[in-house]
Amino acid sequence: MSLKKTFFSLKFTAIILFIILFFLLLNVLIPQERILGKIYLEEISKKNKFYDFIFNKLNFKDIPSSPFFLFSLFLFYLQLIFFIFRYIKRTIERIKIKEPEYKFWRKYKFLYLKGNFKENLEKKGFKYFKLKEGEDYFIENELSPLGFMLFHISFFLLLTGGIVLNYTRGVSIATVALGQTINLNDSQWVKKIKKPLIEKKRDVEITLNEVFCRFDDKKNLALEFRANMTVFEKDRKISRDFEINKPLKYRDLYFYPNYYENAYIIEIEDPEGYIIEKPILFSKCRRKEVVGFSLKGGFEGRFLCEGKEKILIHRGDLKGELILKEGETLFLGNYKIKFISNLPWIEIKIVEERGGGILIFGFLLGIAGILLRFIFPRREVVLKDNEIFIKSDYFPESFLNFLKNFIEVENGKN
Amino acid sequence: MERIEILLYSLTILFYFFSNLAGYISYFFKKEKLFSFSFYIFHIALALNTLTFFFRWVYTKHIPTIGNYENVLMGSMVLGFLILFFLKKRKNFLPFLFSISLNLILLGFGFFYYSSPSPLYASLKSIWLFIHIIFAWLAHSAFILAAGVAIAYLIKKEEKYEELMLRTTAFGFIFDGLMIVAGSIWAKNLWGSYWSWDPVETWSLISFLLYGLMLHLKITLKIKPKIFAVMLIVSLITVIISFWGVNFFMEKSLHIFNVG
Ligand code: HEM
Repeated sequence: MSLKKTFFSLKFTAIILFIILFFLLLNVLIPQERILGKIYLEEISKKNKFYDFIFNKLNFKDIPSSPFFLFSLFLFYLQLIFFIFRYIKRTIERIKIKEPEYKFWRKYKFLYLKGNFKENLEKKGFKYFKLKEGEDYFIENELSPLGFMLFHISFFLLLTGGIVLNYTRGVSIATVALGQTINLNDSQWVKKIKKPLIEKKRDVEITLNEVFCRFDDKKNLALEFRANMTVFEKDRKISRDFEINKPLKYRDLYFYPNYYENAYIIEIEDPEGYIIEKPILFSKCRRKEVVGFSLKGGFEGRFLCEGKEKILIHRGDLKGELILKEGETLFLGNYKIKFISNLPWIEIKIVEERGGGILIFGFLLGIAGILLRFIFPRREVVLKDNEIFIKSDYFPESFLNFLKNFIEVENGKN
Repeated sequence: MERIEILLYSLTILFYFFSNLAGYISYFFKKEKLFSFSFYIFHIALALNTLTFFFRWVYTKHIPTIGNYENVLMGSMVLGFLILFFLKKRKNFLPFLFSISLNLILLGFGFFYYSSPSPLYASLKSIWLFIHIIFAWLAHSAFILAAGVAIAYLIKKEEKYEELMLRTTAFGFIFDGLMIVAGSIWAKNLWGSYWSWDPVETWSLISFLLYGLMLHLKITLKIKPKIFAVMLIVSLITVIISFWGVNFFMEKSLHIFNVG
């Protein structure tokens, strides 16, 4: 019984908030896998015993999904639900019986009322109730505590929304060149990074129709980016523009531009004059990433990103470099490798998720609640004999000053 | 253009400084007249501050939000307006003094980090970013102001200062929440995820929860105002880290398009 009481006390809420804060601090201070990558973490845990202990014994590679953190969130969740229910019950009871809760009230003696006290307060928006004979009760913003509830319910919604989003979320990265059509199930073009809990089979294709990008070459950052894409699914088809900060939305799929660069088309001709391969090769020189490829006919190669764009290509012991410029050709044995053309390609992040609505609703509720609570705080007054009891949720001094317009109060409080 | 701007910025600092100097002299030597003078000079400083802000905006063609200097330019102006809004009454003279001193520290920091204009990258062209940053400064300036009031409270324990601490903290808390909401909607539009637990996001949550926790302690557990005041001053550390974080965050979000 007393354990239950301790758990559902506001002191314990403060403790839970402290614990959550502590974990969040760890999330900032300890190197995290989702920011720095798996390899980096493995390396430092090999070198350093302390990190080895933290990552491999305590499992703090990823604090937001570590059991300790999730457990403290669970406690938070439980408390929140409990308090919300208790608060709703108490508020309804209180509003019904119109009984002030004599807690944290201030008591003053007053000398006389200036004018008609009741009328004046009612003009200012206070409601009047007669409690007992000779006991007058005035209240303003009676429903303000509901604002507190809305605000706390919003945390509940945000947590719930977060859980739904996390489990319905699927992320993949697609590469597509201008004019190319790819199927989102094709693993050659689309890499799945995160799978949703329940995967649906669907057959979606995309075509990149147009793309425009302007770079700041000094910093290598996009100043402007625009693209147009068509999305097909069975008998459905839409074509839309998208930009950085303006993703393309198709049902529960969102397409985000992630990267932009040149792709190159080359052609390999065998000794008989047959074209054996005509691939699109995606360069990632801007990102300074080595891209290797292997092609039909036993050819292998990679991009050389040293100023001029070229590829190094070899077949067995034969080796050569092809400059990626119009008119360039390379002979490897009896094979002829020709540069055909270049075209832009983009990398698109495809996100599939549900539950965003819960989150947005939570945001709105939270904002509404906190505004209601702080802009219209509840204020109460009880007049009894020659005493005045006042209570203001936050600003008793201002409230007293406000009341001094209507009542002459003796100095000093009791 | 940059020369005129630096001149305006220096004048801003100078006027805040004179206002503050006059204020301290008036406080320590009980010179009532200097008191109004300090207030008067403060208005000129704020006008110059606002002018510098819009000057930079007009000639760089984007709202000043890139880099430490531009952030300080906006932040000091917002703080100036909050001082005007919350402390306009004469009886709040002590908090007025301390918050202007804090603003001077902020402005000095900006001066140190002055940088020439940079173009607005595609990742930053978003109405949500704009909203996010305005809310961020409303929140952070209110917390700085709250710390200024807290210092005043520790020196002179008056109930009006106690209320003012709560008012400014609540104001900041509301905008801190709005800032996180706007930021997370921006992140969704840019990266496809409302929340990714990166250090800066986490840090802003730490700051929000900490102020929420403090409001709990003050409002529901009724801790002593003195302790609340000390906590407000100490919590300013989280705001300072958030501020540095903002720039770190910008760098990261800028790079998102070529690092992937
Ligand atoms: C388990 C979690 C939580 C519980 C049980 C809880 C409970 C409460 C309670 C009982 C009050 C007093 C309401 C009143 O007297 O009117 C309160 C007020 C408040 N809470 Fe929480 N809270 C929780 C989490 C949070 C969080 C995470 C924040 C924000 C970061 C927060 C911010 C506030 C604020 C600002 C107030 C003052 C507003 C008011 O008095 O209505 N709370 N909370």
